[in-house]
Amino acid sequence: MVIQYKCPNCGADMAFSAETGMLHCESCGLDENIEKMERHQEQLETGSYRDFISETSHQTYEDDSAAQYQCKNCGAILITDKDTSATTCSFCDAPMILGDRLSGDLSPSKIIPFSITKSQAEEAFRKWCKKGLLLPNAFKKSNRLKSITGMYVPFWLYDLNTRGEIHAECTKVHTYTEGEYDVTETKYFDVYRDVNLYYNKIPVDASEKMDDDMMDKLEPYDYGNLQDFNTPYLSGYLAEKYNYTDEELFPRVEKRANQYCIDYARSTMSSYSSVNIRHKNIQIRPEDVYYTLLPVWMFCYDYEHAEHNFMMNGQTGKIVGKPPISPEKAIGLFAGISILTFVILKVIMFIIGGVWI
Amino acid sequence: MIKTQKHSIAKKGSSLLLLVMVLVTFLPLSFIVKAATDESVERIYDYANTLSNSEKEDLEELAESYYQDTGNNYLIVTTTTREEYDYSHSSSPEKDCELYSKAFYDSFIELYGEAHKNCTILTVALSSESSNRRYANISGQSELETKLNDERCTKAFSEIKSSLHDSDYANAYTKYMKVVNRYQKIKPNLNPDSIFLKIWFQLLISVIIGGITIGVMIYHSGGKMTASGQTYLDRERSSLIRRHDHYIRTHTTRTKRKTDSASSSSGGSSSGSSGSGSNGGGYF
Repeated sequence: MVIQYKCPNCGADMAFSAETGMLHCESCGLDENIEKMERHQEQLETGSYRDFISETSHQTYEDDSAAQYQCKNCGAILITDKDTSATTCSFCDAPMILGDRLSGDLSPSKIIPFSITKSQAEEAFRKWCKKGLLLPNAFKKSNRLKSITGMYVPFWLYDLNTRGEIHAECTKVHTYTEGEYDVTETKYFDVYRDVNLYYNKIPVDASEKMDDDMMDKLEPYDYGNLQDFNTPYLSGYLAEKYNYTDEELFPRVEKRANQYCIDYARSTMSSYSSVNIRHKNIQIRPEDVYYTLLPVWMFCYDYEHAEHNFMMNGQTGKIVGKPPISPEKAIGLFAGISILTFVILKVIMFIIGGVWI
Repeated sequence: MIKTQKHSIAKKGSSLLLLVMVLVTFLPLSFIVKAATDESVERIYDYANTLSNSEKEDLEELAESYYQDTGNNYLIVTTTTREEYDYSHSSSPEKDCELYSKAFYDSFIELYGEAHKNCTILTVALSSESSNRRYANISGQSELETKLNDERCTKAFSEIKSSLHDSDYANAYTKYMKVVNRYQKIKPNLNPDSIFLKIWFQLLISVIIGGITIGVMIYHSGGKMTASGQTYLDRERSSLIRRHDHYIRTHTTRTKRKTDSASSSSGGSSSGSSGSGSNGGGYF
């Protein structure tokens, strides 16, 4: 089933505007408040899943890798990737939301809408490129940006309770002089901590295509703007459904929470010179989990016959990616820093020694 | 074409940086320009004939060039008899050598005047009876008494001791001038042989810092993880339920501090008798 929002005034296609946070009609300029709109998800859930499958051309073509939808705007048949839940019609560019991939088990509960518009994202990315001290000059040229795509990436947000018991051997080192001797006194302590920690909404990306490391680096998102999911938010953007369930991804969040618990316990041992954890017993229990769509701008960059992908947090503007490094610039900067350090050392030695040596 | 041009620009840039580096290192030296003296000063008094004529000339030239640079006289006096200058003999040959050196200095000042008072003197006393009793002493006079204190005199002696022992006098004397010239430039409170004063060490530190900085920049070029446990922690509900910090034991280690024994390593002796300048020397 395809959901498309038409302007009640002029009948043109409406898309979500990151600027206003409302559904916007490009044609007549009408803005519609999404929070006041009826939630499509409930409609979908009340209707029979089978019904709307039969209503669409879904059944006519489907295999594991693609499915076929018909655009209500122009009637074109659109073949989509199996994970896509929102896209635009490749013929008339009308926003298309694939309702069957957002219902039932696949229905998201939360969303952070885009706060950064496409033009803002593009500008911010160009600025970021300019600032890159090690980026090759040719890379910085604007015409290399092949595409910018706004995508809602599926995440699981976990609320966790972490209970941890940690035994450590810690030392306090004190040095002093006694007559002709330097004395080092090391005091050993048996340290125990029992912590009960609650973590809210640790995100883990549930999309197969996205690089986990890059997605982790995009954090943190500001949950102040976390909204209940409603389909109009997706209008005009790409969206994907999850490939992994919350249970399948639990080991990933468990690993993070485990480390968080150790970090927390360690932070209570900061008065010691050294901490050696001898034994730990950490139990992690999920309290709640939210299927959430988070906004990401994706930049596809063409450089030296290879594509470089960059991601931007669609809410905060943080950019991550693996940029190419210019060897000349790296060597130049290395030489520059080394020479500067050398000069500083010389000045210091001049101040101490009274001579340029 | 464009690539080559860029390459040459990068090359030019790096050679320019190298030039700046060299200038910063050596420029101040060129500022120390002393007016050339009209009179010629003799600085090598080789009564014991340890040098050939050409070696003596070379050393005179070297001493003169140091004088032009610094205004200091690096003097050398060698003797077998210790009778060339007047002084009241003491019971120890070491003390005699110091007194002889002082007497030589007085005569030098008498000859050339107070303008030449900043001197270091290497006194080499060869025994006429046996070559096993050879003694050398380095002393600093006037301003060089503080710049070249007892400790540095002893250090300078130990630098040239092996050459003296091998009777490689010309080499020993050249080294002596180089060493005292280097020492006098460095403030007296600093160890002149400190590793921090070595160019290779300074370069190494610079390269390491440069390398680490670039390494970190490249590592973080793709963005870094900024979210931590603190980002998601629910502070209101989280708590430290129980804790204990039990003291178990204390382990104590004592190491004897290094004491600075001025001349024990060189096997020489040193004394700083007032008015006679700084001293350091020994048998070789």
